[in-house]
Amino acid sequence: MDTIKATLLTLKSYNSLSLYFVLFIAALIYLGIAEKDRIKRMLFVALPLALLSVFLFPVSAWLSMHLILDQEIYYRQLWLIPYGAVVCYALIHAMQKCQKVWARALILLAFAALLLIGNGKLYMNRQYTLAENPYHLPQDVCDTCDMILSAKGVAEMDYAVKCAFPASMVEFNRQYTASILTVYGREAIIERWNYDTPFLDLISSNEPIEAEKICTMADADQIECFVIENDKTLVGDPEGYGYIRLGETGRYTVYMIYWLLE
Amino acid sequence: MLRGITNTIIILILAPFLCSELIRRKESSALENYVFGLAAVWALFEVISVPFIIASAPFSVLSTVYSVVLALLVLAGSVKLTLRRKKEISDKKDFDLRSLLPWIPVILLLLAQCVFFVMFQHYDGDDSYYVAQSTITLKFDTMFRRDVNNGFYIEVEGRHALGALPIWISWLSDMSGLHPAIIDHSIMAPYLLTVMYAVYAMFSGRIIKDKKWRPVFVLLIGLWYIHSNVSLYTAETFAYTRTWQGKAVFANIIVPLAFCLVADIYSRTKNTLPLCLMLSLCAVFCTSTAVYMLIILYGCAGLVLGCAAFIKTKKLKNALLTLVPFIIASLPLVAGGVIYLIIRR
Repeated sequence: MDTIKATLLTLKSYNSLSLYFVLFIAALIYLGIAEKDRIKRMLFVALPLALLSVFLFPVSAWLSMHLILDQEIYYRQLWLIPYGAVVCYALIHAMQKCQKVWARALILLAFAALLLIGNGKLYMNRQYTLAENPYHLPQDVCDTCDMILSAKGVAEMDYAVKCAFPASMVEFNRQYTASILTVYGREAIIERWNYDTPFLDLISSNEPIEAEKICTMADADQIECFVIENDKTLVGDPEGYGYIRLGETGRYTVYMIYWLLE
Repeated sequence: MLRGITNTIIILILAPFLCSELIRRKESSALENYVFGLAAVWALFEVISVPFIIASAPFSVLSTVYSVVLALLVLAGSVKLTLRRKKEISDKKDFDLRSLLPWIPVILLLLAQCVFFVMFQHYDGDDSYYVAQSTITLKFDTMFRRDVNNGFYIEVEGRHALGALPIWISWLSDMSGLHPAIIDHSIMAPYLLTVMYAVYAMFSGRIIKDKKWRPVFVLLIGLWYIHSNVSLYTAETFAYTRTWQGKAVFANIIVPLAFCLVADIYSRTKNTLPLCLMLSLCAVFCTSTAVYMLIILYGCAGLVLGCAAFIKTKKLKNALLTLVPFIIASLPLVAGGVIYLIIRR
């Protein structure tokens, strides 16, 4: 029962509240009735149905979720179903059947209207922003990493410095450079993985951060460099505890252990 | 950087085009040859890289071996192309530019999307694995032996080790001198999107007899894709938000390509099996989970064909015989599965 629930939930979250799945089923029914070519019936009706059945069938679903894939990524099995090809082929088939131009135009318009009304539009995705550089990474992150890499001790010895970055940087800094080792990576910012990262918790805190506390913790974790977001308040001077302020970029301030700067 | 971009584009265009000469089917279009040429380039990398990865060999050694083998294949392809051109010169037909006219809306839609991909960015958390893996490979000259999260030494990362695409990006980066993030985000994204449209154009050739309807089909596919950002999980969303990641390549290039080959098997097109074997290797190259997923696709395709054959002939032997190509096509996947289980142990 749990498997059936999980499967249906996966299907529901995959299609969301859209016409994506509805259009696919409608196309499947249409082609099941109207398509007479044996090969195309196999390709566009029988095969997608077989794939959907394997996805929904509790035994195969249980095997996939528990032994092979994972419940979290079970949705990937839906990638095997050619939603777009089935829908678009059904449209072509329907338009080819119509001899009148206005009827073809009507089918096309209806499809466009359904897409506009019922489906998610890529061009409305607000997560796209104008690229800041060819890396397609935040420029502040690149600048901060460059600053760390150009520090005297790091650059002269080609030293793999061990750093701690704020949550807003951990997804990007390792894409930009592998020359900086880190105390934690992306795993630390995924809440459901429950990673214990006291240093990250400290530098993410909205409360003022005590220099003594952060430096003591950094020293204990053998952190040679740490980065703090500029909107955080630091109480005291880290220099007194062995960490020198290396510099500042648009969004971040970098502190490095004294001996790397001597 | 301009030199790096030029090098990358030359590699991405020339290598698949010339390698395709060695595997081309007589009746295939140039577009189809190119796509299968790219599949050959990837499959070759998968075959060569996996032993190196398992043996924890340095990346630089793999890079040299692969470059030499690829160069030899490119050379062989050039020779074969020259000989073929000489042979065919007598009955050479002039390419009619007018045949491209109906494709103009598709080309414009694709161009607009490619420009969009270069000009705009979309951050994806999984890039901290994919891009970082390529970056780390270049820096430490190791493959899957460093934790992408912190850079420290680990045992071979069995979960991802079969999916060699990030290592191939490192190779491309090594050859071109461009940073892996630039290759992934600014070059591979528009390039792979173009390949995806090429695959759908190929597919249209298999399912639509009337040539004038083929561009309409691809255009509709384009519209479907840009309107299918319905959740974080759809293949279409992956195509536009993380195009360069192996799983997106699998969902949007390998799966439609597998449907092309299934259509070929259904219609008994000759010389399909070697392409199926190559595609299976390509699928694993993109993502380890393809081992399982492509077997499901081939299994269902075989089941459908077997049932159809049984209904038509009422003979079980005929039905079982239809499964043979799908079973053979699955062999690289089974081998991949066994390797996966061994290195994940």
